Amino acid sequence: MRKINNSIFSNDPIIIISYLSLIFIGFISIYSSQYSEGISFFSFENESFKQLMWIFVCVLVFFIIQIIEYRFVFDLALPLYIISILLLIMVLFFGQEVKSSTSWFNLFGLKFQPSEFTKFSTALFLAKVFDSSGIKVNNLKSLAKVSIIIIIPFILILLQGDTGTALVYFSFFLVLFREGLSLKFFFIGISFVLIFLMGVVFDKMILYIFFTILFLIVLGISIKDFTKTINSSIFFILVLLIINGQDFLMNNVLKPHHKKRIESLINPNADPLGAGWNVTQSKIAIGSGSFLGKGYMEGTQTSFNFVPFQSTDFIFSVIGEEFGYIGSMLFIILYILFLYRVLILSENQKDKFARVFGYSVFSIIFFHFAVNISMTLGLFPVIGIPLPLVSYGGSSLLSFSLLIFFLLKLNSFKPSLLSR
Amino acid sequence: MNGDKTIIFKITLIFVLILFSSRLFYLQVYNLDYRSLSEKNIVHLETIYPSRGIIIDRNDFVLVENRPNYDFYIIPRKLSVSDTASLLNAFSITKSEFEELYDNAINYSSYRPSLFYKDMSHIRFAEIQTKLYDFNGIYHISKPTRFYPFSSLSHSLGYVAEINNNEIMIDTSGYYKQRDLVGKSGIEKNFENNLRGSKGVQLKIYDVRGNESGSFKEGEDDLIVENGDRLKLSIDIKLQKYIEKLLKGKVGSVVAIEPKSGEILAIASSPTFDPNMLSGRDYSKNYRKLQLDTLKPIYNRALMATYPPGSMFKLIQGLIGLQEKIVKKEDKVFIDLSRIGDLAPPGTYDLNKAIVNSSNNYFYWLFRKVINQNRSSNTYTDSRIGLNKWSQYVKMFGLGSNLNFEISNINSGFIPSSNYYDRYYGSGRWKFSNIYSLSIGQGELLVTPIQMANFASILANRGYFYNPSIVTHINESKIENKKKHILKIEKKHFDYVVDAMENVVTSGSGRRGYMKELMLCGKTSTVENPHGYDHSGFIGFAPKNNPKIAIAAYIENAGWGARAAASISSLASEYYIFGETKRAWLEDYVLKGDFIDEED
Repeated sequence: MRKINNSIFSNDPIIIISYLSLIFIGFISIYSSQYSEGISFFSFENESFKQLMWIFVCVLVFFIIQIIEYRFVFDLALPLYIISILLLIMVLFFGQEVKSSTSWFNLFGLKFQPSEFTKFSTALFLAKVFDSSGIKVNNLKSLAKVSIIIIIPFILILLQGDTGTALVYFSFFLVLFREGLSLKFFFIGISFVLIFLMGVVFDKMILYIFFTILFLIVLGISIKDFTKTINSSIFFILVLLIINGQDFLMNNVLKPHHKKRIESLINPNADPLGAGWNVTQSKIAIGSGSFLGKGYMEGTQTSFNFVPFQSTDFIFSVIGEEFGYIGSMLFIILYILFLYRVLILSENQKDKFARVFGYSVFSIIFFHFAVNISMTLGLFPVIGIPLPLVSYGGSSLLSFSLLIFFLLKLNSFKPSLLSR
Repeated sequence: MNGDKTIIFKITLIFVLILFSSRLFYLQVYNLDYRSLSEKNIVHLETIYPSRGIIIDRNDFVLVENRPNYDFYIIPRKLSVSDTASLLNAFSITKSEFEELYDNAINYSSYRPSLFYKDMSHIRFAEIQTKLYDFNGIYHISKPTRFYPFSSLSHSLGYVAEINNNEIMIDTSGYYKQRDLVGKSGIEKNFENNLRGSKGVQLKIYDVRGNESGSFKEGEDDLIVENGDRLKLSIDIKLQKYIEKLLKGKVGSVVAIEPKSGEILAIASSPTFDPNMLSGRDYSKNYRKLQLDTLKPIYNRALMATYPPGSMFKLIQGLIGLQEKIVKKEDKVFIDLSRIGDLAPPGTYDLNKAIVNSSNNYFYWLFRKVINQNRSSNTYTDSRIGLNKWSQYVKMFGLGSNLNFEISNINSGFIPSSNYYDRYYGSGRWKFSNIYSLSIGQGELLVTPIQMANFASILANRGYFYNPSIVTHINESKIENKKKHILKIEKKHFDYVVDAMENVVTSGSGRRGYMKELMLCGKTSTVENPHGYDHSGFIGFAPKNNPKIAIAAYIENAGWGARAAASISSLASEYYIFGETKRAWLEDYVLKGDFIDEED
């Protein structure tokens, strides 16, 4: 194997620089969001200090990853996946309940969230499965096989009551799409979600009538094409099921606060201080930042704890308020640039393992970014997922960093893989 | 390969960029509503702290109440003081101290309030209140602080202080925030959920100058604050204060119980401290001071200290002997002094005389017959059977148990079991001669003062008890969850032992506690102490018929039991029953005789 003369630092400077910048921005925003007057910075009461400690941990992990062998990464995939599934099961029994979801282990005061690390292990295992078996995702059997890898953690996390994190696992379907899954499935999936949301807004009867008419029209057009007729009939039946099952899903699967959040997205003014409180306050904070922002550490909305979870899920509201439109745009552009580089880097991998892993990294981070910013801007229901690398939280920072570090690691071995 | 797919991803990224930038443009630049919402009408979410529940005694005297203390905050941007000297004077700080505080505040933020001065007492606040109008940029908030008008009952009441990280971490309810007050010990801790009440939330609208301009939506979304519950204790604070006075200068504890209900009338541990020391500005300084004190004033001896019961345990031995039909009332035995050290003379003894004279050798003989009842031909096995039976009896008296007491920080004491001796000597390798010290309440047996008071209560009731309790009412509702524990020992045996206890006071070792009208029944203990002077112990109740008070006292290093413990118990009983004490000479004797070796 070739000597690693290309250190990670020369690996992909854009990713490294943007990674470091995001972490830095996260740190200063957490620092600002903390109403920590009277508490010393060097205290574990202080979230920004704890975040700094986690950043050091990440640096340490970075160097450890430099040392390990490529093969080791490959061999680690299955055991890591199994371990993280076991942890997800264990947390159901021994976990600590925080804000109505049981997803935390509390070991000697250190909180640890296995569902964060499962993102990483799932990505690794998915990559390995794609690499070692000739999976064609348009083959239903193969698709089912791959889907199971994603759905097991999804269900376990759903059982913890952490719907937000569970939804993240849907982002893996973007990887499948890159690996050949037809766009059809996407449109079907997205339309189901839309129909579900329509069910919240409109009366059921209206939907039944609307879709029956639509179905009849489609049927009329494709009357001569047997497969199309069958397909659209199946689709129609599924739509009816969704509309019918929507009540069941809203009342039994989703928790009351999810239900309220979905409703409050559609009509935020119905209950601005109840379910809409987070979003309303976040929008006020961001909106009050205006063009130039209020200046660092001078935000009033965020500093007085108006925005709940401001150091975690709503960290972007701190940026929006204190740095204004200019700062927010620079931040969004930086993030998109970062994601773009991850995408390009992944696409450039000649090795299927590295490529699938890279796309997983891209999909996970993209999903978090898009959903998190959307929810702070009031474009998406509040499902409580962090902004990668920026939000406060050790488990999350470490797991996103692991994703990036391993991608860089795989990238640095690219040339040698040709001769494998 | 698959270039078309990358394009779709890229387009998605661009779509997201456009979506976010236009949304941000709308929120931050185009739509002015949000800005004005923020700048002109800020809806503040204000936490309203509940007032912590007060605690009263059985006669409605207030034991714990809230008085305001004041925290001061500084907002550097708004600071303008015409007379700096007056400011420095008001807070008793020097100019350089003020400059440091100001610099710290400005380093933190010039807009946001920084803590400037913490926990000013309401008395000091009243003194400087008029000057405060001249200090622009310095704001105060009042916060309720615990105040103890009687400066008494500190161990049981416990204290309240700011929550620490650890407590926040283990609080799964998510109720507590940094700087909240929480009960740290005693009743304050064990009834935290009742006392604290629940925080309320008020939504208020403020204008750009920070002036309040009304409540949001006329308060319909406010969360009403709920004040803490009022606790009523069974304590008689006058009796408590009297006992604390008697205990002054001594190390030990006294517990008094109303036998018919199990309600604790007084529970004192000495040395003690003023609970007001742990409330307010000097909390940490005082706490450290109390912790460093070698006599351990924070240590609640009434619940935590364990002693061998000593001679008072002979009453239990006698009751077991009677119930097991090992002795009968009329039985007389000749006792010499050959077995065990003794202060009682040799002679013919019945149980009554043995109790009155506290004959060690009699109880040696009795206990041997309890342990070795010839159920097995093997002495070792026989001892084991005997001890198991014996310890079942001892447990009925509530020994070795925490008595399900409301204050969880309590020691259960220790009743040695067969398993314990198996570990110590080896299985089947111990017999009566190894455990005979138990016969006179010495050896491995350990009890707490509250358990002994409960025992006194059993004797007063002639065979039953209610678990001792200290909180009787939460708000107006009485706590009724008490189980009557009836011992499996016949009442006539208790009557017999109580007669002996009466004799102890009229003509035995408890003579010093005798008072005709009081009809005190009791038993003294002199507990061997390997580390110094013997401890002095007494249990008793009064009056003999229809008893009103059962009491136990332990005074450490005070020598022979009658001197300290019996006198204190007798005085306390008299005080409780008659409302005063007529025996000034005895009071004098107790107050003057300091039984501790004073070092300074």
